[in-house]
Amino acid sequence: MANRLFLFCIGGTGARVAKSLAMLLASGCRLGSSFDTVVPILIDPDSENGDLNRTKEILRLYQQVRKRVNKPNDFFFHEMKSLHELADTEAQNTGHFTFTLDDTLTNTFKEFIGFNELSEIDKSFFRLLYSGNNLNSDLNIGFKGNPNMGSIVLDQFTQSEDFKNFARVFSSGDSIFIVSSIFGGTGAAGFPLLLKTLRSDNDDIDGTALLNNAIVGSLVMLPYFKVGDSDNSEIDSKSFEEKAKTAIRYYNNTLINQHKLECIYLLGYKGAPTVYENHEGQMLQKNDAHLLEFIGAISILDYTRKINELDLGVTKIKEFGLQRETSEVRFKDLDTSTVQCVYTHLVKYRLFTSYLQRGLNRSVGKSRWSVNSVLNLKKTKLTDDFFNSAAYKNYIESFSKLFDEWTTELDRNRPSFSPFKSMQEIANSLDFLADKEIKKTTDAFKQIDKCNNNFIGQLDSESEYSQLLKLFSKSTEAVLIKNKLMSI
Amino acid sequence: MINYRAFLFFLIICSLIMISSCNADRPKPDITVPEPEEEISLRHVNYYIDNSGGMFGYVSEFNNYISTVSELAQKPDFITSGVSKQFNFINGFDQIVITDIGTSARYFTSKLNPTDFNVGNIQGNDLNKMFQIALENTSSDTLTIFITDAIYDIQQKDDPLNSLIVESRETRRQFISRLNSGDDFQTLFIKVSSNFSGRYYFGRKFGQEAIDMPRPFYIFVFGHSDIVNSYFSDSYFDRLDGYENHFRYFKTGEMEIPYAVASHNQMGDFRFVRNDRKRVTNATTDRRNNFQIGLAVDFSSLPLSSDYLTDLDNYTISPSFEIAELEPYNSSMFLGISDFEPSHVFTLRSQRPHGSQNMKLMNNSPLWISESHTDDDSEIQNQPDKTWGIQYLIAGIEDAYKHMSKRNYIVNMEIFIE
Amino acid sequence: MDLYEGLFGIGVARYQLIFDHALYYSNGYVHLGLIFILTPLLFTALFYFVYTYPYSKYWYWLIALAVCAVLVFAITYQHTLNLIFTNTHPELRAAISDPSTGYRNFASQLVMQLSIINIFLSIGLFAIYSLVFKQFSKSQGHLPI
Repeated sequence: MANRLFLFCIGGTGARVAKSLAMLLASGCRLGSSFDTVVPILIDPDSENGDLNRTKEILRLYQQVRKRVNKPNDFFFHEMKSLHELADTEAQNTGHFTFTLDDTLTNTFKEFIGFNELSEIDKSFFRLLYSGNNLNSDLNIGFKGNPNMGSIVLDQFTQSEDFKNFARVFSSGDSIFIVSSIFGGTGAAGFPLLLKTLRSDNDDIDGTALLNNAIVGSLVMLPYFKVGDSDNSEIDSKSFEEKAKTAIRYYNNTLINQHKLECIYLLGYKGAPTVYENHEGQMLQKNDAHLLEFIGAISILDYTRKINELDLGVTKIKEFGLQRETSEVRFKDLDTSTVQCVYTHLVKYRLFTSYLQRGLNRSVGKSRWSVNSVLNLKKTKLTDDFFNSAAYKNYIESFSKLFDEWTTELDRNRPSFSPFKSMQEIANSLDFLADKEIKKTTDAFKQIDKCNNNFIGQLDSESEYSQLLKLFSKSTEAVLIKNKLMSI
Repeated sequence: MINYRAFLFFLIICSLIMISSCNADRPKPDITVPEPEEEISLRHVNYYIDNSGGMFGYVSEFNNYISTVSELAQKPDFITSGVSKQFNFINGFDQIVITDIGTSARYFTSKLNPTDFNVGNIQGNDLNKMFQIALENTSSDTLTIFITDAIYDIQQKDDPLNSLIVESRETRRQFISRLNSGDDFQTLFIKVSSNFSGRYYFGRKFGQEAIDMPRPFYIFVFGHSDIVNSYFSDSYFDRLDGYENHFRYFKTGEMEIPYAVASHNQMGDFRFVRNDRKRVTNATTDRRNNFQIGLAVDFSSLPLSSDYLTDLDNYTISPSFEIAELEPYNSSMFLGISDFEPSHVFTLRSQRPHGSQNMKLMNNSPLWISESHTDDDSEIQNQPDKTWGIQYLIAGIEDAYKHMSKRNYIVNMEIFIE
Repeated sequence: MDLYEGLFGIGVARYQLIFDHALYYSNGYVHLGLIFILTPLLFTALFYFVYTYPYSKYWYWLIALAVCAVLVFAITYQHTLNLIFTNTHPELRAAISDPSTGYRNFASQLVMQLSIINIFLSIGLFAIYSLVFKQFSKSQGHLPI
């Protein structure tokens, strides 16, 4: 049985990295060969957080698509499961990728710690540590960049049912990866707490021994963006670097020197040109996808592929660099191993989503691959009915649009990741790569349709989703090879 | 992208079809050329000249008789073939007397006069015994020519017709006996007219009458059909002064001639059956319920005269059909028959054409024979072209041939109309 | 041969020379058969295995059928004309040369009949080949139905 990767994504940054990872996995990027399943666990008290909800939606759609595909060989290769599914508990709400945090939905920090029940001396003590804003802060919008609050609230990990379930389902061979930012509130507090919990001996929890001996990796995001000044927000991006330095010193003294984990990826962008709007939390906190989140997702792939090089109790530190300094990053600016990891998959998937948006109407119900003939033995399920079905529109079409939105955000951000031309710029269906010049007359969609006609016969026993994804995986690859676009 | 396997399959199928159709033109139907039989060649000719008393009138002066007999004695192709000859006078009744006249045609011809005729027993002539001798001396390489007036010499005149019947039967017996030997044997029977000046001895009654008028005499040629047909083709007889008619008797046996249906004077519709030109299908009558079809035949191998062949009375046909016309073939008919060269084309008519239809060329004695016959030669002066009892004589020969042929027709042409 | 003369009833005894010498003995019927067998075979093979345009509609197939039919007509017409009017059989030539026989007029009419018969035969075979080839075709397997 292949192993599972338990991916803890803490805070908004964790959620955004999880989103990028979902996109990479949808395009067919692979984890290390010993892993077949990703179990994302999102930790954020800000349940209405825009980024969190977007990620949850993407993960949900990924799951919906994936479970309809039988033995995928490219797109949506990996399974994605929630902790609740593995633990066989009822997931009552749609946000079943999240870790349940008790008493955060309606309480203030003061209420959470039971401030009013404390003695005066204790109250005074707390007033030294926490400001009035901190104490009166609503926990349901997160910790607003205050890890001192987060460390108190998130300490409930150990006793939570979710963590117990996690420990119970964790098996030998499974691995753990934690994604967090160092300059926020939730991630900065949550990461060390979670790691401490994973490495503690707790006889009340089944599976503690396995957790103690599991290979653990993490991605710590150093400051890579700023937020604008706002009177309505306590978050001040001027403090990000200081917080980051403090946290790094702490990690170094504790987590790294004590070898609490086997691999730590550090990513950051000094100078951080990106400036987001300053929202403390909730649905307005919805940042565009960032190059570093994309790189962060790649680091997860890297971790799983090189997991055999890691030894328990020995910590490796990894950083990432571009081939050249640029604010418009393309594939050629990434190093070779990174490109090899993602290029073909992303290009194919991008061509696929481009086709679904602009090329499908010409062929559905007309081309051989989309028409069932009265007298033919082999049947296609990719007919008019399928493409007009609610399931297709709600899952495949929706996910494709989210993918395109993700690439657009990456392109829009600074530094940008701009390997693809925008949909509006594309005059020629094959001319979607920013680095390539394509002859104007090339009709890639027609080539795809021809390839689809050739390949559909091999897939007649598959379900409709399997047919769709496997068919286009083959045809997009064939077209890209034919037009010599399979390498940079 | 081409499905190469399917395209290869298609090319293989094409190739197979092309290869299977690559053959030479279909062989046209052969004109069947029968294996040439062993060539029969004439070696010798025997001449028997009836010199009974009744024949003297033919040699009393130069006339057609002497001219014809001379011509036969000195037949050019006998000379070119180098055949040997033996000339004989023959007469007698109880005892047949054969007088050897030698082998010289010239010498023989010089004996054709009343004085030299008067040898042997001129009192009577037993035709049947003469036939016997003539028949016995005929073989596959030997012709026999017997010239006589063909009048039975019956001794009992009180019941002449009965006597004729008796004689006829004896003739039949003689011929059956000869035909039974198995070899091919034809009897060519030629009627020639010549002036007769002398005593005519009645056949029906006793007595005689002096006459000077044309009278028929008859030449019988016996021999192998091939030789008889070769030396005595239909075109030869015009060389005989006084020639009137002739007929041939031969064993029909398994005689077959090529024939085929044809679209000639067609009425109604039908379709030929390829490789079987004796059969047609989808035959329908026209709007007037008439059906007419052509039948092309090749009579060239039959040793019969054109007159006999074109006499419709010599044919019988299935009840539902009639012979509308019989014409000689010519190439402008465009019959499309390549198996053989037709000699004649029949037009057959019917209103109920379907089924197996037969047309037979019968083995009948020609009409002129019965027309040459008389039962009563009392008024012979008025019957210059008739011979007493000839019909009975020929009937005897005819019956013999019919008996030995096992069938009463010469050829049967059967066609199938579906 | 029986296909044309029998089944389609074009055999006319009156003009048997044409059927014998121009058509039968010179393998004319074989040629006609190859025309109506091979031409649609070629067309359907091209349509189903070589033509890869992915947006074909049913009437593309109809066009292929029509073109094939026209080609079959043209080839049959010309070939039959040659078979009959350049045939060297002397009796046939004489018959055709002589207007009073009616051969010339009949031959002209026969050429047209055979061409039309071949059209229908080729259409039938085109449909049959289509039913078979569509099973293996990757691009046009959904046509015509």
